[in-house]
Amino acid sequence: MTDSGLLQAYRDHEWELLRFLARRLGSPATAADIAHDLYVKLLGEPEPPQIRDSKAYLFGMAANLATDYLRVERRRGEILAEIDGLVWRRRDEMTPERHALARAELGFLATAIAGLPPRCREIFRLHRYEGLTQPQIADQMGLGITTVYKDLKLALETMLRARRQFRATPQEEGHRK
Amino acid sequence: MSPDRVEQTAQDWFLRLTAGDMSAVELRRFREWREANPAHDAAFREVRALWNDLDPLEPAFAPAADQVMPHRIRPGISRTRAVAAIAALAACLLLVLASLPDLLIMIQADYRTARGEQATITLPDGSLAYLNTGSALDIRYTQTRREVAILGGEVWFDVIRDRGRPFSVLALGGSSTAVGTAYAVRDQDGIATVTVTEGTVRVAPDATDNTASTDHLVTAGQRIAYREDGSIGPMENVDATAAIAWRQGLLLLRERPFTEALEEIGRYYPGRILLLGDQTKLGTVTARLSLGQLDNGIDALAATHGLSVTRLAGYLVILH
Repeated sequence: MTDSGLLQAYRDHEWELLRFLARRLGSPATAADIAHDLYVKLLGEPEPPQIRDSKAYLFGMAANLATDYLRVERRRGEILAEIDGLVWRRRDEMTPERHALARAELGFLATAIAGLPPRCREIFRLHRYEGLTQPQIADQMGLGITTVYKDLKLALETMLRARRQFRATPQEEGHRK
Repeated sequence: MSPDRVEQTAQDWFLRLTAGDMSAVELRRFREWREANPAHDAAFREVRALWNDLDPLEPAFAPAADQVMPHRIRPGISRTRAVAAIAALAACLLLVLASLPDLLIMIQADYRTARGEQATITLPDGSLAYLNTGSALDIRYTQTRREVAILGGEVWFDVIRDRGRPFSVLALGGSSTAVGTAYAVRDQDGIATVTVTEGTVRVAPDATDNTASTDHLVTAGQRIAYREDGSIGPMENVDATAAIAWRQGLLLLRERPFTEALEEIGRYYPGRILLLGDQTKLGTVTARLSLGQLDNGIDALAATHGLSVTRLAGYLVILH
Protein backbone atom coordinates (compact mmCIF):
# COMPACT_ATOMS: atom_id res chain seq x y z
CA MET A 1 0.00 0.00 0.00
CA THR A 2 1.33 3.42 -0.84
CA ASP A 3 0.51 5.92 1.82
CA SER A 4 0.44 9.66 1.51
CA GLY A 5 3.17 11.54 3.31
CA LEU A 6 0.60 13.07 5.65
CA LEU A 7 -0.80 9.72 6.75
CA GLN A 8 2.74 8.56 7.39
CA ALA A 9 3.44 11.73 9.33
CA TYR A 10 0.27 11.16 11.36
CA ARG A 11 1.38 7.65 12.29
CA ASP A 12 4.89 8.77 13.14
CA HIS A 13 3.80 11.66 15.33
CA GLU A 14 0.38 10.60 16.66
CA TRP A 15 1.36 10.80 20.31
CA GLU A 16 2.92 14.22 19.93
CA LEU A 17 -0.12 15.35 17.96
CA LEU A 18 -2.53 14.21 20.67
CA ARG A 19 -0.56 16.11 23.31
CA PHE A 20 -0.44 19.18 21.07
CA LEU A 21 -4.23 19.08 20.65
CA ALA A 22 -4.91 18.31 24.31
CA ARG A 23 -2.94 21.41 25.32
CA ARG A 24 -4.90 23.60 22.92
CA LEU A 25 -8.31 22.20 23.76
CA GLY A 26 -7.76 21.55 27.44
CA SER A 27 -9.23 18.08 27.13
CA PRO A 28 -7.54 14.81 26.14
CA ALA A 29 -10.93 13.32 25.17
CA THR A 30 -11.73 16.17 22.77
CA ALA A 31 -8.17 15.97 21.47
CA ALA A 32 -8.70 12.29 20.63
CA ASP A 33 -11.93 13.16 18.81
CA ILE A 34 -10.26 15.89 16.76
CA ALA A 35 -7.28 13.64 15.98
CA HIS A 36 -9.69 10.97 14.82
CA ASP A 37 -11.48 13.50 12.59
CA LEU A 38 -8.14 14.56 11.18
CA TYR A 39 -7.21 10.98 10.45
CA VAL A 40 -10.48 10.30 8.68
CA LYS A 41 -10.00 13.51 6.72
CA LEU A 42 -6.53 12.43 5.64
CA LEU A 43 -7.90 9.07 4.50
CA GLY A 44 -10.68 10.62 2.52
CA GLU A 45 -9.00 13.54 0.83
CA PRO A 46 -6.32 13.54 -1.84
CA GLU A 47 -3.04 14.93 -0.66
CA PRO A 48 -2.36 18.51 -1.74
CA PRO A 49 0.73 18.62 -3.94
CA GLN A 50 3.96 20.35 -2.99
CA ILE A 51 4.11 19.77 0.72
CA ARG A 52 7.66 20.29 1.82
CA ASP A 53 7.31 19.54 5.51
CA SER A 54 4.60 16.93 6.12
CA LYS A 55 4.82 17.17 9.88
CA ALA A 56 4.45 20.95 9.98
CA TYR A 57 1.57 20.76 7.50
CA LEU A 58 -0.13 18.05 9.56
CA PHE A 59 0.15 20.05 12.79
CA GLY A 60 -1.17 23.09 10.93
CA MET A 61 -4.25 21.09 9.87
CA ALA A 62 -4.72 19.90 13.45
CA ALA A 63 -4.47 23.46 14.78
CA ASN A 64 -7.10 24.62 12.27
CA LEU A 65 -9.49 21.85 13.28
CA ALA A 66 -8.97 22.75 16.95
CA THR A 67 -9.65 26.44 16.25
CA ASP A 68 -12.81 25.59 14.29
CA TYR A 69 -13.97 23.42 17.13
CA LEU A 70 -13.41 26.16 19.73
CA ARG A 71 -15.14 28.71 17.52
CA VAL A 72 -18.23 26.52 17.15
CA GLU A 73 -18.24 25.86 20.91
CA ARG A 74 -18.03 29.57 21.71
CA ARG A 75 -20.76 30.41 19.19
CA ARG A 76 -22.90 27.63 20.65
CA GLY A 77 -22.39 29.13 24.11
CA GLU A 78 -23.50 32.56 22.88
CA ILE A 79 -26.63 31.12 21.26
CA LEU A 80 -27.55 29.20 24.41
CA ALA A 81 -27.06 32.32 26.54
CA GLU A 82 -29.31 34.38 24.25
CA ILE A 83 -32.00 31.68 24.22
CA ASP A 84 -31.84 31.46 27.99
CA GLY A 85 -32.57 35.18 28.22
CA LEU A 86 -35.47 34.89 25.77
CA VAL A 87 -37.15 31.96 27.51
CA TRP A 88 -36.65 32.69 31.19
CA ARG A 89 -37.72 35.77 33.08
CA ARG A 90 -34.94 37.55 34.89
CA ARG A 91 -35.20 38.13 38.62
CA ASP A 92 -35.59 41.88 38.25
CA GLU A 93 -38.56 41.33 35.93
CA MET A 94 -40.49 39.81 38.82
CA THR A 95 -42.84 42.67 39.52
CA PRO A 96 -45.30 41.97 42.36
CA GLU A 97 -48.48 41.91 40.27
CA ARG A 98 -47.22 39.15 38.02
CA HIS A 99 -45.20 37.43 40.67
CA ALA A 100 -47.40 34.40 40.86
CA LEU A 101 -50.67 33.11 39.58
CA ALA A 102 -53.63 33.42 41.93
CA ARG A 103 -54.62 30.23 43.73
CA ALA A 104 -57.94 29.98 41.91
CA GLU A 105 -56.17 30.30 38.58
CA LEU A 106 -53.65 27.63 39.54
CA GLY A 107 -56.50 25.27 40.41
CA PHE A 108 -58.17 26.00 37.09
CA LEU A 109 -54.96 25.25 35.22
CA ALA A 110 -54.32 22.09 37.25
CA THR A 111 -57.72 20.76 36.20
CA ALA A 112 -56.90 21.45 32.56
CA ILE A 113 -53.54 19.69 32.96
CA ALA A 114 -55.20 16.66 34.57
CA GLY A 115 -57.23 16.24 31.38
CA LEU A 116 -54.11 15.82 29.26
CA PRO A 117 -52.98 12.31 28.24
CA PRO A 118 -50.38 10.79 30.62
CA ARG A 119 -47.65 10.71 27.99
CA CYS A 120 -48.19 14.36 27.16
CA ARG A 121 -47.97 15.32 30.84
CA GLU A 122 -44.80 13.27 31.30
CA ILE A 123 -43.11 14.83 28.28
CA PHE A 124 -43.98 18.33 29.44
CA ARG A 125 -42.76 17.52 32.96
CA LEU A 126 -39.40 16.29 31.66
CA HIS A 127 -39.04 19.38 29.48
CA ARG A 128 -40.16 22.16 31.81
CA TYR A 129 -39.22 20.79 35.23
CA GLU A 130 -36.38 18.33 34.60
CA GLY A 131 -34.77 20.51 31.94
CA LEU A 132 -34.38 17.75 29.35
CA THR A 133 -34.04 18.91 25.74
CA GLN A 134 -36.56 17.68 23.19
CA PRO A 135 -34.07 15.28 21.54
CA GLN A 136 -33.17 13.89 24.98
CA ILE A 137 -36.83 13.22 25.76
CA ALA A 138 -37.33 11.54 22.38
CA ASP A 139 -34.31 9.38 23.07
CA GLN A 140 -35.27 8.51 26.62
CA MET A 141 -38.87 7.64 25.83
CA GLY A 142 -38.15 5.94 22.54
CA LEU A 143 -40.37 8.38 20.63
CA GLY A 144 -39.94 10.41 17.49
CA ILE A 145 -38.96 14.05 17.86
CA THR A 146 -42.22 15.14 16.18
CA THR A 147 -44.29 13.21 18.73
CA VAL A 148 -42.46 14.93 21.57
CA TYR A 149 -43.01 18.29 19.92
CA LYS A 150 -46.73 17.70 19.34
CA ASP A 151 -47.27 16.67 22.95
CA LEU A 152 -45.47 19.77 24.21
CA LYS A 153 -47.52 21.95 21.91
CA LEU A 154 -50.74 20.32 23.12
CA ALA A 155 -49.80 20.98 26.75
CA LEU A 156 -48.79 24.58 26.08
CA GLU A 157 -51.87 25.35 24.02
CA THR A 158 -54.20 23.73 26.57
CA MET A 159 -52.76 25.83 29.38
CA LEU A 160 -52.79 29.06 27.39
CA ARG A 161 -56.43 28.51 26.46
CA ALA A 162 -57.37 27.63 30.04
CA ARG A 163 -55.69 30.73 31.38
CA ARG A 164 -57.39 32.96 28.87
CA GLN A 165 -60.75 31.37 29.66
CA PHE A 166 -60.16 31.85 33.37
CA ARG A 167 -59.26 35.49 32.96
CA ALA A 168 -62.28 36.14 30.76
CA THR A 169 -64.67 34.77 33.42
CA PRO A 170 -65.55 37.02 36.38
CA GLN A 171 -64.46 35.31 39.62
CA GLU A 172 -66.87 35.05 42.52
CA GLU A 173 -64.03 34.88 45.00
CA GLY A 174 -62.68 38.12 43.67
CA HIS A 175 -59.30 38.66 42.11
CA ARG A 176 -56.34 37.81 44.17
CA LYS A 177 -53.39 39.71 43.09
CA MET B 1 -51.69 36.68 9.81
CA SER B 2 -54.90 36.07 11.75
CA PRO B 3 -54.64 36.47 15.55
CA ASP B 4 -54.98 32.70 16.01
CA ARG B 5 -52.26 32.09 13.46
CA VAL B 6 -49.97 34.52 15.30
CA GLU B 7 -50.58 32.68 18.57
CA GLN B 8 -49.80 29.34 16.97
CA THR B 9 -46.59 30.70 15.50
CA ALA B 10 -45.58 32.24 18.84
CA GLN B 11 -46.04 28.84 20.51
CA ASP B 12 -44.03 27.13 17.78
CA TRP B 13 -41.21 29.62 18.16
CA PHE B 14 -41.21 29.25 21.90
CA LEU B 15 -40.92 25.48 21.70
CA ARG B 16 -38.13 25.83 19.17
CA LEU B 17 -36.28 28.07 21.65
CA THR B 18 -36.66 25.56 24.48
CA ALA B 19 -35.92 22.56 22.23
CA GLY B 20 -32.20 22.61 22.96
CA ASP B 21 -30.90 22.42 19.40
CA MET B 22 -31.72 25.76 17.82
CA SER B 23 -29.24 27.06 15.27
CA ALA B 24 -27.93 30.62 14.89
CA VAL B 25 -29.86 31.02 11.63
CA GLU B 26 -33.12 29.96 13.25
CA LEU B 27 -32.50 32.32 16.14
CA ARG B 28 -32.06 35.22 13.72
CA ARG B 29 -35.28 34.28 11.93
CA PHE B 30 -37.06 34.29 15.29
CA ARG B 31 -35.75 37.79 16.12
CA GLU B 32 -36.94 39.03 12.73
CA TRP B 33 -40.40 37.53 13.24
CA ARG B 34 -40.72 38.99 16.71
CA GLU B 35 -39.68 42.49 15.63
CA ALA B 36 -41.85 42.47 12.48
CA ASN B 37 -45.08 43.21 14.34
CA PRO B 38 -46.04 44.26 17.91
CA ALA B 39 -48.73 41.55 17.87
CA HIS B 40 -46.00 38.96 17.38
CA ASP B 41 -44.09 40.29 20.37
CA ALA B 42 -47.24 40.36 22.51
CA ALA B 43 -48.14 36.77 21.61
CA PHE B 44 -44.61 35.63 22.41
CA ARG B 45 -44.67 37.44 25.77
CA GLU B 46 -47.91 35.71 26.68
CA VAL B 47 -46.37 32.26 26.12
CA ARG B 48 -43.24 33.26 27.96
CA ALA B 49 -45.21 34.60 30.96
CA LEU B 50 -47.15 31.34 31.25
CA TRP B 51 -43.95 29.26 30.96
CA ASN B 52 -42.34 31.26 33.77
CA ASP B 53 -45.42 31.05 36.00
CA LEU B 54 -45.57 27.26 35.89
CA ASP B 55 -43.33 26.49 38.89
CA PRO B 56 -46.15 25.80 41.36
CA LEU B 57 -47.90 23.47 38.89
CA GLU B 58 -45.23 20.76 38.87
CA PRO B 59 -47.35 18.33 40.98
CA ALA B 60 -50.11 18.52 38.35
CA PHE B 61 -47.75 16.89 35.84
CA ALA B 62 -46.66 14.01 38.05
CA PRO B 63 -48.02 10.63 36.90
CA ALA B 64 -50.90 9.26 38.98
CA ALA B 65 -50.04 6.13 40.98
CA ASP B 66 -52.50 3.89 39.15
CA GLN B 67 -51.45 5.03 35.71
CA VAL B 68 -48.95 3.13 33.63
CA MET B 69 -47.64 3.84 30.18
CA PRO B 70 -49.55 2.11 27.42
CA HIS B 71 -47.81 -1.03 26.28
CA ARG B 72 -48.37 -4.48 24.86
CA ILE B 73 -48.58 -7.52 27.08
CA ARG B 74 -48.58 -10.89 25.44
CA PRO B 75 -48.93 -13.97 27.66
CA GLY B 76 -46.48 -15.71 25.34
CA ILE B 77 -45.28 -19.27 25.29
CA SER B 78 -42.87 -19.65 28.16
CA ARG B 79 -39.68 -20.93 26.64
CA THR B 80 -37.70 -20.31 29.75
CA ARG B 81 -38.27 -22.22 32.97
CA ALA B 82 -40.01 -20.62 35.92
CA VAL B 83 -38.03 -18.40 38.21
CA ALA B 84 -37.87 -18.54 41.96
CA ALA B 85 -39.29 -15.28 43.20
CA ILE B 86 -36.63 -13.25 44.88
CA ALA B 87 -37.51 -10.01 46.60
CA ALA B 88 -35.64 -7.36 44.73
CA LEU B 89 -34.79 -3.72 44.62
CA ALA B 90 -33.76 -1.94 41.48
CA ALA B 91 -30.65 -2.41 39.34
CA CYS B 92 -29.12 -1.74 35.96
CA LEU B 93 -27.70 -4.68 34.09
CA LEU B 94 -26.63 -5.75 30.68
CA LEU B 95 -27.40 -9.24 29.46
CA VAL B 96 -25.94 -10.56 26.29
CA LEU B 97 -26.95 -13.81 24.62
CA ALA B 98 -24.36 -15.11 22.24
CA SER B 99 -26.43 -17.52 20.19
CA LEU B 100 -28.57 -16.28 17.36
CA PRO B 101 -32.06 -17.60 17.97
CA ASP B 102 -34.05 -18.77 15.01
CA LEU B 103 -35.74 -16.17 12.89
CA LEU B 104 -39.25 -17.25 13.88
CA ILE B 105 -38.60 -16.57 17.55
CA MET B 106 -37.13 -13.18 16.70
CA ILE B 107 -40.16 -12.24 14.62
CA GLN B 108 -42.60 -13.29 17.34
CA ALA B 109 -40.83 -11.25 20.00
CA ASP B 110 -42.59 -8.25 21.54
CA TYR B 111 -39.69 -6.01 20.59
CA ARG B 112 -36.74 -6.57 18.31
CA THR B 113 -34.01 -4.69 16.48
CA ALA B 114 -32.47 -5.50 13.11
CA ARG B 115 -28.75 -5.53 12.56
CA GLY B 116 -27.32 -2.04 12.89
CA GLU B 117 -30.48 -0.87 14.67
CA GLN B 118 -30.96 0.12 18.31
CA ALA B 119 -34.10 0.92 20.30
CA THR B 120 -35.15 2.26 23.68
CA ILE B 121 -38.26 0.72 25.23
CA THR B 122 -40.17 1.96 28.22
CA LEU B 123 -41.38 -1.11 30.10
CA PRO B 124 -44.86 -1.13 31.71
CA ASP B 125 -43.46 -0.06 35.12
CA GLY B 126 -41.36 2.74 33.64
CA SER B 127 -38.09 0.80 33.71
CA LEU B 128 -36.07 1.19 30.54
CA ALA B 129 -34.66 -1.43 28.19
CA TYR B 130 -32.09 -0.45 25.55
CA LEU B 131 -31.89 -3.02 22.77
CA ASN B 132 -28.60 -3.25 20.97
CA THR B 133 -28.21 -4.44 17.38
CA GLY B 134 -29.93 -7.73 16.45
CA SER B 135 -31.78 -8.25 19.74
CA ALA B 136 -35.22 -9.55 20.72
CA LEU B 137 -37.11 -9.08 23.97
CA ASP B 138 -40.34 -10.49 25.39
CA ILE B 139 -42.26 -8.76 28.17
CA ARG B 140 -43.96 -11.00 30.73
CA TYR B 141 -45.23 -8.76 33.49
CA THR B 142 -47.77 -10.05 36.01
CA GLN B 143 -49.34 -8.64 39.18
CA THR B 144 -46.58 -10.10 41.35
CA ARG B 145 -43.48 -10.04 39.20
CA ARG B 146 -41.79 -8.19 36.40
CA GLU B 147 -40.16 -10.60 34.00
CA VAL B 148 -38.59 -10.01 30.64
CA ALA B 149 -36.98 -12.66 28.43
CA ILE B 150 -34.07 -12.05 26.10
CA LEU B 151 -34.45 -14.21 23.00
CA GLY B 152 -31.20 -13.01 21.49
CA GLY B 153 -28.73 -10.18 21.37
CA GLU B 154 -27.88 -7.62 24.00
CA VAL B 155 -30.11 -5.52 26.24
CA TRP B 156 -29.26 -3.00 28.93
CA PHE B 157 -31.83 -2.45 31.68
CA ASP B 158 -32.35 0.52 33.94
CA VAL B 159 -34.70 -0.86 36.56
CA ILE B 160 -37.12 1.08 38.69
CA ARG B 161 -37.23 0.10 42.34
CA ASP B 162 -40.30 -1.89 43.39
CA ARG B 163 -39.84 -4.17 46.38
CA GLY B 164 -43.21 -5.80 45.88
CA ARG B 165 -42.51 -6.91 42.33
CA PRO B 166 -39.09 -8.36 41.65
CA PHE B 167 -37.53 -7.59 38.26
CA SER B 168 -35.93 -10.57 36.52
CA VAL B 169 -34.30 -11.10 33.17
CA LEU B 170 -34.66 -14.63 31.80
CA ALA B 171 -32.16 -16.02 29.33
CA LEU B 172 -31.11 -19.58 28.50
CA GLY B 173 -32.99 -21.05 31.44
CA GLY B 174 -31.30 -18.80 33.94
CA SER B 175 -32.41 -15.62 35.59
CA SER B 176 -30.85 -12.37 36.68
CA THR B 177 -32.79 -10.59 39.36
CA ALA B 178 -32.18 -7.00 40.33
CA VAL B 179 -31.24 -6.61 43.97
CA GLY B 180 -29.70 -3.32 44.02
CA THR B 181 -30.05 -0.48 39.79
CA ALA B 182 -28.46 -1.05 36.05
CA TYR B 183 -27.52 -4.16 34.25
CA ALA B 184 -27.14 -5.62 30.81
CA VAL B 185 -27.47 -9.10 29.45
CA ARG B 186 -25.96 -10.60 26.34
CA ASP B 187 -26.51 -14.00 24.70
CA GLN B 188 -23.83 -15.38 22.39
CA ASP B 189 -23.08 -18.96 21.29
CA GLY B 190 -25.24 -20.42 24.01
CA ILE B 191 -23.63 -18.24 26.65
CA ALA B 192 -25.44 -15.55 28.57
CA THR B 193 -23.27 -12.76 29.96
CA VAL B 194 -24.54 -10.45 32.69
CA THR B 195 -22.74 -7.15 33.25
CA VAL B 196 -23.80 -4.95 36.14
CA THR B 197 -23.24 -1.20 35.87
CA GLU B 198 -25.13 -0.13 38.98
CA GLY B 199 -26.44 -1.89 42.06
CA THR B 200 -26.47 -5.63 42.62
CA VAL B 201 -27.95 -8.49 40.60
CA ARG B 202 -28.56 -12.07 41.69
CA VAL B 203 -27.72 -14.46 38.86
CA ALA B 204 -29.21 -17.95 38.98
CA PRO B 205 -27.90 -20.10 36.08
CA ASP B 206 -30.70 -22.60 36.65
CA ALA B 207 -33.89 -20.78 37.46
CA THR B 208 -35.62 -23.99 38.57
CA ASP B 209 -33.11 -24.61 41.31
CA ASN B 210 -34.70 -23.16 44.43
CA THR B 211 -31.85 -23.97 46.75
CA ALA B 212 -29.99 -20.89 45.60
CA SER B 213 -26.73 -22.74 46.11
CA THR B 214 -25.61 -21.85 42.59
CA ASP B 215 -26.72 -18.23 42.82
CA HIS B 216 -24.13 -15.52 42.40
CA LEU B 217 -24.37 -11.94 43.55
CA VAL B 218 -22.89 -9.63 40.93
CA THR B 219 -22.21 -6.03 41.84
CA ALA B 220 -21.45 -2.89 39.80
CA GLY B 221 -18.37 -3.25 37.60
CA GLN B 222 -18.58 -7.05 37.54
CA ARG B 223 -19.54 -9.56 34.90
CA ILE B 224 -20.44 -13.23 34.95
CA ALA B 225 -21.32 -15.69 32.20
CA TYR B 226 -23.37 -18.89 32.32
CA ARG B 227 -24.41 -21.64 29.92
CA GLU B 228 -27.72 -23.28 29.23
CA ASP B 229 -26.59 -26.42 31.13
CA GLY B 230 -26.39 -24.37 34.33
CA SER B 231 -22.61 -24.08 34.50
CA ILE B 232 -21.41 -20.67 35.51
CA GLY B 233 -18.11 -18.96 34.81
CA PRO B 234 -15.84 -17.01 37.13
CA MET B 235 -16.66 -13.47 38.22
CA GLU B 236 -14.74 -10.89 36.20
CA ASN B 237 -14.15 -7.21 36.72
CA VAL B 238 -15.06 -5.16 33.66
CA ASP B 239 -14.87 -1.67 32.30
CA ALA B 240 -18.59 -0.93 32.47
CA THR B 241 -18.17 2.16 30.27
CA ALA B 242 -16.82 0.07 27.39
CA ALA B 243 -19.48 -2.61 27.88
CA ILE B 244 -22.35 -0.18 27.33
CA ALA B 245 -20.58 2.28 25.01
CA TRP B 246 -23.03 1.19 22.30
CA ARG B 247 -25.71 3.17 24.12
CA GLN B 248 -23.72 6.29 23.14
CA GLY B 249 -23.40 5.06 19.57
CA LEU B 250 -19.79 3.98 20.06
CA LEU B 251 -17.90 0.75 19.68
CA LEU B 252 -14.81 0.54 21.86
CA LEU B 253 -12.17 -2.07 21.05
CA ARG B 254 -9.22 -2.59 23.36
CA GLU B 255 -6.34 -4.79 22.23
CA ARG B 256 -8.61 -7.23 20.47
CA PRO B 257 -7.24 -9.65 17.86
CA PHE B 258 -8.00 -8.30 14.39
CA THR B 259 -10.44 -11.07 13.42
CA GLU B 260 -12.32 -10.67 16.71
CA ALA B 261 -12.54 -6.92 16.16
CA LEU B 262 -14.02 -7.56 12.71
CA GLU B 263 -16.59 -9.93 14.19
CA GLU B 264 -17.58 -7.29 16.71
CA ILE B 265 -17.97 -4.69 13.94
CA GLY B 266 -19.94 -7.26 11.93
CA ARG B 267 -22.59 -7.33 14.68
CA TYR B 268 -23.52 -3.75 13.80
CA TYR B 269 -22.71 -3.68 10.12
CA PRO B 270 -25.68 -4.27 7.82
CA GLY B 271 -23.45 -5.77 5.12
CA ARG B 272 -20.99 -8.66 5.19
CA ILE B 273 -17.30 -8.22 5.88
CA LEU B 274 -14.81 -10.66 4.38
CA LEU B 275 -11.15 -10.89 5.30
CA LEU B 276 -8.88 -12.48 2.72
CA GLY B 277 -5.27 -13.64 3.03
CA ASP B 278 -3.08 -14.43 6.00
CA GLN B 279 -4.89 -13.45 9.19
CA THR B 280 -2.18 -14.45 11.65
CA LYS B 281 0.10 -11.44 11.25
CA LEU B 282 -2.51 -8.76 11.76
CA GLY B 283 -1.89 -8.05 15.43
CA THR B 284 -4.40 -6.42 17.76
CA VAL B 285 -6.82 -3.54 17.43
CA THR B 286 -7.48 -0.65 19.78
CA ALA B 287 -10.08 1.71 18.37
CA ARG B 288 -13.04 3.89 19.11
CA LEU B 289 -15.57 3.63 16.30
CA SER B 290 -18.75 5.57 15.73
CA LEU B 291 -21.61 3.14 15.02
CA GLY B 292 -23.15 5.69 12.69
CA GLN B 293 -20.05 5.74 10.49
CA LEU B 294 -18.81 2.18 10.49
CA ASP B 295 -17.58 2.43 6.91
CA ASN B 296 -15.06 5.10 7.97
CA GLY B 297 -14.08 2.88 10.87
CA ILE B 298 -13.51 -0.12 8.61
CA ASP B 299 -11.41 2.03 6.27
CA ALA B 300 -9.29 3.37 9.12
CA LEU B 301 -8.83 -0.09 10.57
CA ALA B 302 -7.81 -1.50 7.21
CA ALA B 303 -5.41 1.37 6.57
CA THR B 304 -3.64 0.96 9.91
CA HIS B 305 -3.15 -2.74 9.18
CA GLY B 306 -1.92 -2.31 5.64
CA LEU B 307 -5.06 -3.73 4.05
CA SER B 308 -7.02 -2.54 1.05
CA VAL B 309 -10.81 -2.24 1.04
CA THR B 310 -13.02 -3.27 -1.84
CA ARG B 311 -16.77 -2.71 -1.69
CA LEU B 312 -19.19 -4.67 -3.85
CA ALA B 313 -22.85 -3.98 -4.47
CA GLY B 314 -23.03 -1.75 -1.40
CA TYR B 315 -23.26 -4.85 0.76
CA LEU B 316 -20.07 -6.87 0.62
CA VAL B 317 -16.86 -5.43 2.07
CA ILE B 318 -13.64 -7.27 1.25
CA LEU B 319 -10.40 -6.60 3.15
CA HIS B 320 -7.24 -7.86 1.50
